[in-house]
Formats: sequence, structure tokens, C-alpha cells
Amino acid sequence: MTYMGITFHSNEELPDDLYMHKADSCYKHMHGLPEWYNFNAPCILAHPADSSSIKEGYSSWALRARRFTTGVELNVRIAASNNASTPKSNRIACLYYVEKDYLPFTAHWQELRTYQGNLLSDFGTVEPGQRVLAQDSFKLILPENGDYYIIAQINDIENRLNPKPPSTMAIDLEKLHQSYLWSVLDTANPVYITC
Amino acid sequence: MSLLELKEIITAQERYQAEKPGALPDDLYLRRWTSPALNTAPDIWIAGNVPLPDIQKLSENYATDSSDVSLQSRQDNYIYVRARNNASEPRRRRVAQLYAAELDLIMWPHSWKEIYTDTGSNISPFATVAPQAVAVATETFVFPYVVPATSGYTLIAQINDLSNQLNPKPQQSTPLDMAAFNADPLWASTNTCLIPAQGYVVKMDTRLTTASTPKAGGTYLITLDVKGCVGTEVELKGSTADSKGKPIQFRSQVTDDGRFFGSSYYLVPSYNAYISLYIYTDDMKKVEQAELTFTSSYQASSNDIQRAVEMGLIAGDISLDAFHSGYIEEAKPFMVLRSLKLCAGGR
Repeated sequence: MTYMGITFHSNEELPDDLYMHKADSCYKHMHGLPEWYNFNAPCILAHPADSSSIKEGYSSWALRARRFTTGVELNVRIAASNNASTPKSNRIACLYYVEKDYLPFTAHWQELRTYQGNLLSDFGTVEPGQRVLAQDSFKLILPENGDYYIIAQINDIENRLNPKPPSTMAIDLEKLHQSYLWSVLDTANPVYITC
Repeated sequence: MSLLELKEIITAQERYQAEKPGALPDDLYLRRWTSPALNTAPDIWIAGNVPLPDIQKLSENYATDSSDVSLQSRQDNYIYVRARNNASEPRRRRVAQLYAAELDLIMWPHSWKEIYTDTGSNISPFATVAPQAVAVATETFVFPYVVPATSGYTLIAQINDLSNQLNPKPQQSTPLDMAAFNADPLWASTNTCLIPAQGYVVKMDTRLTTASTPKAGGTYLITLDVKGCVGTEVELKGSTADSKGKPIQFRSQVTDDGRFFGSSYYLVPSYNAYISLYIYTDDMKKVEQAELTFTSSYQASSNDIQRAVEMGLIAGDISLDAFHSGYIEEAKPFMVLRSLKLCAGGR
């Protein structure tokens, strides 16, 4: 289903493509999801640029190590899984941050660049069922005053799969959170909760 | 050029020579004062959140510094770069580039945020600059929605050529040699402070362009259809004045849903402006369903309409007054016929 540039899927309907998994699935069936569920984004990993805590790749340990200290250079990586039955390539990740109050307004989303200076990071070729990290790290220095969300996006290299929504209207946050091609992380509460 | 202006330029040249020992380049260059204020670059012209109606005045007033070294936070800010050609021959294919860095990060070029122009480019080209002439880079830099920063920003301007060989950006992995950077006339930087905003400012944006065909020139009705933000104030602002120098700007209270604001502007073919749309509110709940639709429509002249009616291309029983009053819905069939309708950012 496409709604003004955002591709959405129901919680039970993973795309036949790369996707970012949400917080632990056992919470999906709870009556009334807790607020943090929409902002936990376990596909976003981060560590201070001067450490090497996620070099070993994606793990629950790396998730628990997430910290978003403002004013400090952070190295951010995006994980995705391939739900298709065939290998997928030409898929990329983009990353933004935004002041919390302005999440629905995409003109406020600040684009982040990789250490190579690019606005996107390639996932390479991802085999069916495989979970990978996008190849390049994004560099993030959060301003020292304010509260921020980080937004991760999966797209294809042609910008057709999941383009950034237009900036002339407030986006529907419920649909944003339901999408497996978008993830939002609250930098003030990054602790990954498992059940 | 008046004698007074000539004298001021010579004085400026002397100041430059005093502060930047060594010869001026045989090319375009930027000035930088180290006194009276530390790190002031008069060739980085900060216009704040109101674009200049006529940027050519900046080359005519070369001896004048930017009157405003403040950036308006939570607004798009408009910045211009000018330069003087010190060569004895014209210089072509020169461009300006602009960056912003938080005040204490200037020595780390990888932390510089690239500022784009109102056409979406990271370079603003100079036209051919005659020997000893002053020129303004032709495109307006737009520092978009300046997010409040603790310390403020440094703006950094660069003179380069189109092939990125004259003066490429320094390597990103090493800190700058600040002494060499400060002495390099192909670079200039200026420190700014931030003027705080009141309340919430939601920004949206779009683009206004006209086709390059000569017939695309004329009067356009620019409208803003506002939904989902009753009790707020909306503003529209263009990065460039219309082709007769009239600033593209209006601001109004939203008292009921579906309000419609607009005004007429004269635009030449290949006109381009970046359009900033703002919603000012004290309560973000008022804008949860906000939707702004920006439309610009060519307004046909009475002769064109009369002729179209005579040719049977539009129904004669539509009141011609409707066209003159800017009722764009009725005018659409005719505008499509002439391929002159323009719609930027509208749905």
C-alpha cells in the first residue's frame, strides 16, 4: 500500500524485500503497545566513533551498548533482513535526525552523511533470510541542546521503493511506525528491551 | 564609480594587504577582516531571513560590509557571496561554495555542512568577471531552517572553478592549518550569532520555476491553500523577488479551515525560486493534520482569452471577469491549451 510516498505494511505483512525489524515480536500481540515500541528501532546501532563496539556486527549486546550522547561523534549503522525468496541488491539505507516535536514534518529531517561523505549506505547483495549491516557507517553529532529522534529508511538506488515523503504536509505517524521500511529511534531512551 | 567608493576600495585593499601578507592571487579572491571584529568576511553577505530584492547592489556597494551578521534561528536564511577579480584578464568558470560549521568545529572540514543554492546546487557560479571588477555569485545560498546551536555558526566561503581544481575542499581526515587557511584569499569565514525564535516554527518547502519557452513569461497567480492548522499563522517566502523586483512573500492568520491566500507576480521564462512555507504556532497539536498546497497559475490576458473564445477553445458563457479575477479553476483548460500552466509542489 502506498500513501503519499510512504510504503506501508501491516505488522503481519513483511515486504517481499529488505525490511527493518521492530522491537521484540512478543509485544506485537499485547493489547495496546507501549509508547517505546514505536521508538525503539533495534535496527539502528550506534557507538562513539572512538570505540569499536559494533565491529563484530549485529548483536543484542551491540544493541544494549547504544548510547546517544549529544555533542559526541557517533558511528551509526543500519541493519536489515531480506524477507524475499531471492537475493536483493541495489538496496540502500538513509539516515536522518529531527527534533522530537517536528517528527511529522520531513523538511525538518536533517540528512546524515556516511564517513565517505555520501547520503546513503549500500547493503550490497543480501541473500534470502540474511540479516546484514549497511556497508558504510553514518556520522552523527547530535546538537547539545534538544531532544531528537533518529530515522532510518530503506530505499532502492533509484529512489522508487520508498522515497522520502513530500514536505508540504504532516505525515501520518501511525503509518510511519507500521512501515518496515522506516524506523524511528528515541535517542533519549535507546535501551533495547527484550522479553 | 564615485571617488568616495574608489577611495573605500583602495582602503579596503590596504587593509587586506596589511592583514594577509603576500600577493593577491591572479584570480578572484575574498576579503577577510581581522579587525575590528574577529573573523569578519565582508564578501559573505548574510541577509538573514529576508532575501535581497536585488543582489547586484552587492557588487555596486563593495565597500559596505554585510549589515547583519546574525542568522535567524528556525528560519531559512539567505546568504550571498561576492568576489573581486585581481587578474588582468577576465575570469570565467569560477564558482562560490558555502559551508556552515558550529563555531568550535571550523578546523574539521568533515564537520562542515554544505549549503545549497536556491536551485538545489552546491555551487553558485559567477558570470565572467572583468579585470578588477567585483561580482556576486549568481545564485542565492539558502541555509535551510537554521537549527538552534549552543554556540552559533561559522560560515565558510570558497572560491573554486567548475572543475574543482583551483581550490578543492581540504582533506577531511586532517585538521586545518588555521594560519594558512586564514591567509588564503580563496577562503573566507565569518562568525555569526543566532536570533532565537518564538514558539514553534514548522517549515515546509517547494520550488517555483517557469518553463524556458519565451511564452512562459507573464503574470502568475501564486496561491497557498491551507488545511489543518486553524489558529496558527502561515507565511510564504520566495528566495528571489519576482522579475519586477516584487518580493514573493505573504503572511496571514488562519482563522478557518481551507483558507486560501494568494497574490500575483510577474515571472520571466526560466525563473527559479526556492519557496519556504512556515506555520507559526504555540501548540503543535494545531498542526498535526497540516497540509499546505502551493500552486502557481499563469494568468491569461484578456486578448488571449477573447481569441480563445472566438476559436471555440473555451466556452463563451464563462465570464471573462472570472479569468481577470484569478479564478484559476475556470482558467485551467485554457492554460493547459497554451501549455503555460505551472504547478510547483502542488498535488
